[in-house]
Amino acid sequence: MAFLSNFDISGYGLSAQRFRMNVISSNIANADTTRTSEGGPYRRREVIFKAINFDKTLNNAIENSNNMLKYENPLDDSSAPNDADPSVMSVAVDKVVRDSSNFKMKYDPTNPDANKDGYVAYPNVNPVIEMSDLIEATRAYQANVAAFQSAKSMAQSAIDILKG
Amino acid sequence: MQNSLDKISSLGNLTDAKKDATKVAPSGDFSKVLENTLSEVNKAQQVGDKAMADIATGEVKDLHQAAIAIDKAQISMKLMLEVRNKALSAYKEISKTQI
Repeated sequence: MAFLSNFDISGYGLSAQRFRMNVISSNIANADTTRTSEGGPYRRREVIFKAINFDKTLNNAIENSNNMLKYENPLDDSSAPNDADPSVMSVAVDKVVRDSSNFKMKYDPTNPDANKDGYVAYPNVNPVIEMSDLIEATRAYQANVAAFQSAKSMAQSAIDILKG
Repeated sequence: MQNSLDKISSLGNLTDAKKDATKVAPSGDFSKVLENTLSEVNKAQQVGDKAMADIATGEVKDLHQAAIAIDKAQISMKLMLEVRNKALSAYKEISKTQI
């Protein structure tokens, strides 16, 4: 279904933002965790996004599905550009990176994880930053939903051409 | 101005068939095209059905992916219905021909 491709572009964006929200939630949940399987306290994690060539993905899918036509300029206008350059990009999660900033040291000699000076290393998570990142991710998700709804209403309008 | 008029008058050549379209176009007649489109719509319907079942059973990974699949099924179904209505009205128009 080539004419529904903008749905998929928004879908990639929604998945990416949802993944980012999961990472931020794990940062908030582990804001006080002093023990991890890697040893030492929890390190703050961040998500890196990467643009992926959506047109290539789409045309591969079209070739594999059935003998559907590639998108062409419907008016046969030779002066019109055939393919957008650069092509339409969508987004995917490239990697999750650890924040290498220093841990927060608190003086708490009774804590079993305290070092010989009585200081405990707490994760380098600032809850205020995480909360603002969370709001940002939520708004980005909503923006993707809005783009999706616009694409849907455009498709609906195009179908309404046939009516009457 | 003259240039844009040329562009408008070139619309009269729309009946020129694309030469390179024949090697990728669905071979055969209109019914073949309809069949292909129907199978495409049917596939979208099946994916939408599976998405709904996944929501019901709690197996869905991403809620929005399920919503997108269902929306695709809906839009493609509506397009298919409109094309069917067009084809039927054309057929009726032809069948009214006086012999």
